[in-house]
Amino acid sequence: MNWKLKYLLFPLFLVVVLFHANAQKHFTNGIAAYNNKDYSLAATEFEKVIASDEKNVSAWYNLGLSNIGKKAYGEAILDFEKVLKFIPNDSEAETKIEYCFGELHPEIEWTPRLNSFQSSLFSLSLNAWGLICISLSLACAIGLILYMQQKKSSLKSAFLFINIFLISSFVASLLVCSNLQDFMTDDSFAVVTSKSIPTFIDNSPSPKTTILEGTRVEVIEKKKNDFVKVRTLTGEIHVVRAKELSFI
Amino acid sequence: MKQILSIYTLLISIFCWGQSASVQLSIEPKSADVGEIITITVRSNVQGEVEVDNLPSSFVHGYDVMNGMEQEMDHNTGDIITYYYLAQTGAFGKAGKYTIGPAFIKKGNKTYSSNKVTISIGDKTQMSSSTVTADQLRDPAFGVIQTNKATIYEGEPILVSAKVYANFNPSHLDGYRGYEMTGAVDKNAVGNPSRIVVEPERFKGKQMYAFEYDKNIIFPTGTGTVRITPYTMNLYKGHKSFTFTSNHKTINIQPLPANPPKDFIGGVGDFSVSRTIDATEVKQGDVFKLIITVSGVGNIQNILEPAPKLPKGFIVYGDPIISENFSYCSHGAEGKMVFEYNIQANVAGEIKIPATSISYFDLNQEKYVTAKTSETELKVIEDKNYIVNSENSQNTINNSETDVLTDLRPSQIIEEQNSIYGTGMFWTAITSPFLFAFLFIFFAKRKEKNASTIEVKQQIKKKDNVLNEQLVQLKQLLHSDEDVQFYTSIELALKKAFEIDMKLAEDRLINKREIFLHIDENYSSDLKAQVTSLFSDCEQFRYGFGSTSANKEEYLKQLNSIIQQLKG
Repeated sequence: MNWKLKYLLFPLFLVVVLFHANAQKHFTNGIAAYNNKDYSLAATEFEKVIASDEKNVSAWYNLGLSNIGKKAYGEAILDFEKVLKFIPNDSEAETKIEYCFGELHPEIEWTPRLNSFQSSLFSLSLNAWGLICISLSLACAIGLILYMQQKKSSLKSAFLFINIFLISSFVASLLVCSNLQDFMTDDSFAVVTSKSIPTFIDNSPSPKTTILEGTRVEVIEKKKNDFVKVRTLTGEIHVVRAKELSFI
Repeated sequence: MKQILSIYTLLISIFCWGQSASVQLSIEPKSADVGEIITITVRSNVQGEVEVDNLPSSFVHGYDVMNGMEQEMDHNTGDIITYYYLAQTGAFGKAGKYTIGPAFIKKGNKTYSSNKVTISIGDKTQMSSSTVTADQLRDPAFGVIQTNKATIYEGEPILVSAKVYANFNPSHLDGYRGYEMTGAVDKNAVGNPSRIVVEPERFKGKQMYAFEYDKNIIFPTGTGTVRITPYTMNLYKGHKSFTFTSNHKTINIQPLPANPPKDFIGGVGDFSVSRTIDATEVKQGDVFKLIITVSGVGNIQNILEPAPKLPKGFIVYGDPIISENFSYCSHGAEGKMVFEYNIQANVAGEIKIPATSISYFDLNQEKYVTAKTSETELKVIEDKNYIVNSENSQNTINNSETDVLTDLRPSQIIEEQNSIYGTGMFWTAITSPFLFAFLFIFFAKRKEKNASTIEVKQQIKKKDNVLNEQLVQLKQLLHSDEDVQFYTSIELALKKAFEIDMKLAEDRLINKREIFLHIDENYSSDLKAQVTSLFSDCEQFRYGFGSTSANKEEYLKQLNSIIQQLKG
C-alpha cells in the first residue's frame, strides 16, 4: 500500500473508532443515570447517542423510558413510535405507547399504525424480505423451466399449480417489500409532544381549537406558510403549524 | 280476665304504634310523551283516604283506577304486612318536567305523607308510516307499520307500532298476528297494550277511524337493512269482520363510528354516572364497597359494567353485583344500573380513588361522549400485622409506572443502514432468473425443433436410397420375363419418388389421390398427364397385355424423366 494512502486512512479509522467509543460511553452513562433514577440526565445521554446514530433503536427505546420517568409522555410516545418505525412488531414499544397514551387520554384507546397482520409481516427486515424475493424469483424460474420441459400431462399440471403458488408468493413478497419500505420512509406521521398545539381554520390567524399531547396525526396536505392539514387518530381534520409537530 | 284483656289491648297498641307507616308514591314510566298513558301508584301499609298533591293541570285523569291490597312477609321478623295500593292512569297534555307528590293518607286524625316523584314529558314522538297503496285506500280497513325513525344507530331503540285505519268505527278485533323484526331479540311493550283508543283522523284527504295497536320499543341487533314483517288482523263492526294484512317496512341500522373510547360501555342514548363508597375510613386489608350507578335512557339494559380505575394496591374481588332498575318507555329503557364492587385496600395512607369515567354514544350529538364522576378520598389506616398478598397487588399495579420503567434495553441494537431492496443489484437478482429461464426455454425449444427436422431429413434420405435401389432393380428386370414384378416396381418407385418430393417422413405408402393433389398444387398439368399415363400403362401391362422389352425400356425412361422433373 502506498504510504500516502496509509497516512490518509489511519486518521479516518481513528475518527470512526473514537466516534463509536463516544456513543458507547454515552449509552453506558445513560443506563447508569437511569438506574440512579436521574431520568433527565439519562434522556440527555441517550439523545447524544441518537445524535451520533439515528438508527440506534435501543437508544430510542431507552430515551422513551427516560421520558416516561420524566413524565414527558408525549416525548416518550414519539420515541417509541421511532422504535416501531425501525422494528414494526416491537410489542414492548407498543405497550409503552399504550401506557403513555392511557396516562394522557384515559378515555381514548390508542391504535397502532399497523394492524397485527401487517405487524407480523413486517417482523422480518427489508433485507430479509429482499432475499425472500430473490429466492422466490429463482424458484419461479426453475419452476417455469420444469413446467415447460414436462411431457406428462399429470406432472405438467402439478408443476403448473406449483408455479402459480410460487409466482403469487413472489408477487406478494414484492408487495410486502414495497409496503415495508413505504412504512419505513413515510414521514407523514407526527406526534404532538407539547401539552397542546393550536389548530386553525384555513387563512384565519386566530386559533380554533387544540390538539392535545401524545396525539398521533397524519399529514394529509401541505399548505402555505408552514401550515399542514392533519388527520387525528379519531378521524378529525385540523390545520396546524408543521413546526409544532414532531415527525416520526 | 279484664287484666288480660287490658294487657292484650296494650300490646296490640304498642305493636301498631311500633310498626312505622310507610307510604310510597311511584310513577311508571319515568319519562313519557305527551298523551302517553302513565300510571301513578300509591302503596302503603296504612289504609285510609288517599290524596295526591301537586298533580299538574295538564294531567288528564284516565278511566282506569285500580285499588286493592296485597300481603308480603317481612323476612327479618317473619310478620305478614298488608299493603294497600291505589293506581290511577292518566296522561300529560303538555311537555315538561313535573314533580308529583307527596301523596297523603288520612286515617282518623293522622295524615301520613309519601315521597315525591319526577317525570319528564317530551313532545309527542313523530311516527312515520310505511307507504299506503291505492288498493289499500279503497279497502274498508288497512294497516301500516309506524316507526319513530327510518335510520337508527346500532344499539339504538326504535319505537314500532301497528296503525290501523278504517272507514267504519270498529267495535273489536281478533286474530291479530303481530309484526316481526328480523334480528330483534329485545322487544318490550310501551303503554297499556289492552287499551285501544279509536279516534277520527283525516288520512290522504279521507275521513277515517284510526287507532294504534301493539306499540313496542325494539332493540335491534346487527347492522344493515332490517325488514319489519307485516301484521294481520280481523277488524269487526258488530258481527261483520274484515281481514287485512298490512304492508312491511324496512329500516336501516348504521354501525357506530369506529375507534370508540376505551371506557365505552356499549351505551347508546343519554347517560350519566355517579359513584359512592360505603366508607370514608377503612383499615388496611379491609374490603369496602364501591358503588357505580349508571342512569339514563337508551339501551341501559345492555350496557357493560364500567371499569373502575383503582390506585396501586387496591384489588377488586370477584365480579360486581349488578342491580337493575329500569322501565321501558317510548325513548328506550330508562332507569339505572347499579354496579357494586368489593374492593380490598392493601396500602395505607390518604388515598385518592381516581374518577370513574364511562363513554356512550350520544344520539343528539352523534358522537361518543364521556361522563365522569369526581375523585374520592379514602383514609386507609395502617395495620402492621397485615401481610400484603404480593401476587394480588402485583395484578393491580400491572400497568403502573414501576413496571413500565423496569425493562431498559442494555445492548445497542442498530438498524441496518442500507437495504438491498430497490437497488440495481436487487432488480438484477430478481429479473435474471426469469431471463435465464426464458432463454433456456427458447434454446431448448429450438433444439427440439432442429432435432425433428434432422429426423425428417434422415427419413427422406433413407427413402432416396430405397428409390435408387428400386431403380437398379428395375434395370435388372428390364430384360427378364417377370412383367408383373417390373410394372409393380415401376409403380412403387414412382410413389417413392413422390414420397421423397412431398418430404413424407412417415413410413407408409401414399395413394394416387395424394400424388395428384400434390401435382396439382406444385407442378404443371403436363407432369400430371405423364404420371397418369404411366400409372394406367403399368396397370395394363402388369396383367400381360402386350408388354415388350421395348415398352419396358420406354416406361423406365418415363419414370426417370418424372423423377428428374421432381428433383429438378
